Amino acid sequence: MSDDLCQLSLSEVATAIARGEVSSEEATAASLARMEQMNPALNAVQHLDPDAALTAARQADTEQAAGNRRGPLHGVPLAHKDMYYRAGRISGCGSKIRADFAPEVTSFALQGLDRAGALDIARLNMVEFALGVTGHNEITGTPRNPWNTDYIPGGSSSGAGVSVAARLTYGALGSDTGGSIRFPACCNGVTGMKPTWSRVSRAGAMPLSPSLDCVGPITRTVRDNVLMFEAIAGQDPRDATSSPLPVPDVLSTLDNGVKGLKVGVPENYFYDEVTPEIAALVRASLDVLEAAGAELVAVTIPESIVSTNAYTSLIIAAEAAAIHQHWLQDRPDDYGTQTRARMMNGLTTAASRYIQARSLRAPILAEFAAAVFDKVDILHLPVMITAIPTIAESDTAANPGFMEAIIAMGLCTRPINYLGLPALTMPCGFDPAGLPTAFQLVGRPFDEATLYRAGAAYQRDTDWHDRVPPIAG
Amino acid sequence: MADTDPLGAWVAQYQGVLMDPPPKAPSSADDPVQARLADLAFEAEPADYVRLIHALAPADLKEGSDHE
Repeated sequence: MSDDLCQLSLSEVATAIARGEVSSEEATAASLARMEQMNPALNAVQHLDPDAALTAARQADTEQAAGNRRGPLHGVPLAHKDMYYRAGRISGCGSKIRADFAPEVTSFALQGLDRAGALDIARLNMVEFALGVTGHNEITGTPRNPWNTDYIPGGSSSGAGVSVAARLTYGALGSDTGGSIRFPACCNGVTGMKPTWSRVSRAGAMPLSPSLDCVGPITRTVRDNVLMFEAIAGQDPRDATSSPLPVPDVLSTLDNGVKGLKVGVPENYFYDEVTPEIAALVRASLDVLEAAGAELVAVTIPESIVSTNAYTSLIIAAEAAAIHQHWLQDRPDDYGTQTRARMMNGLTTAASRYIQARSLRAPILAEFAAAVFDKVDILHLPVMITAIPTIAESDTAANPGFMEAIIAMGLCTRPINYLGLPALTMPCGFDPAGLPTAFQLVGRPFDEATLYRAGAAYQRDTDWHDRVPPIAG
Repeated sequence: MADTDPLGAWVAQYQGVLMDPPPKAPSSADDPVQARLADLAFEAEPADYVRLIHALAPADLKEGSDHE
């Protein structure tokens, strides 16, 4: 019974707790047991405190028994990427440098989940300082893909993607600066939302590149994802960039379907480097949307999109280096070699190029929006351009020649960060090696609701999101 | 290099085959896309981006907000 609870979705366990069919203590004990059982093979959990988690769960049960439910996630145990600060608790950021860092503040995102009633029972492994797309971590070890532990988990929200796929947790916060929610969602066969830049406050979240950083949920289903998104989105005085636009009631329109929705299919750029087997899986998901009533419309992507990958790299390098300069100078040997080398790039980036890269965001987005969103409601894209590589072949310390392939991994994700648009990633099949792949739906700014509606329609007619890795069955 | 660019020299000791290629944007003078982007940069500044994403937001979200 205990392990069966872990197979429920977040929505299902939240409903079961609300109805009194399952206690928070039972659900929490099940997650903790599964983490302890499976983490030696997966290295997805960085730290857990079972006594504190069970105490919080019993408190939630007591509150509910007294008629005091905090919110829609009351008593649901979650776990998050180890970069979301909680006052007094270590937030290691996948690093040696922050291994003992106990912040004095709690992140806006965690506060939102607290208000919704969720429990925060573990810190999840991640790429060192969130700088990397494969999931490798020289400091804390590389999490393992539950579909095949020889393969990368995707990064930088590596432990989050693995934990959700392996049913260690019902949902997890990730972060996405160049693809760090979408890669682990893709590699692990789960659902990830990179919201519009500024939709979710970054206060109390480890910064990597503030002009691009986005906070978002990784879950098994679209519906689960909405529950977390609605808990964390909104304006926050502690993050001056957080948007004042109201957060819509996404759940109320989630089941409205896609009849008449115009879905853009790019004629250029986004499929240029995609391998045939991945392209076929991704394009098959278009058939599902079309059968559900969506209208597929070919769109031509402006040529300026080609520059956005490099501009994103430039912004990340410059902003990360500015944040890390004192540690780079004082504690260079405490970084992993790849992280350090990539951070160093930013120290010698010309300020004029950085400002130009940021200044061009508006005109490039204006051109993109006119070409795409004047014609369609959402855009359908691949996430990864190839099948998922193994951990060994993509370890650039042993195989430096793979660096070019790693840079190419961002061809379909980094432009979306540069444009700041919301993107919902969902699984759509398996490559010849049996590893998942995914597509992403991209929307106009602050229109996460339409992405979720389309995603829900897709998941109603498919079962990729319900597939369970054999190791987690 | 060390005499004129001490930061560059210090950085270089930690860089090697593992680093990304320098993250410079494409800038070939005969590239029409880059030439056009260079013109756009003359007219733009980073804050324009925040205004634009709010201008592009769904109309129902903008009603009653500061971002019309």
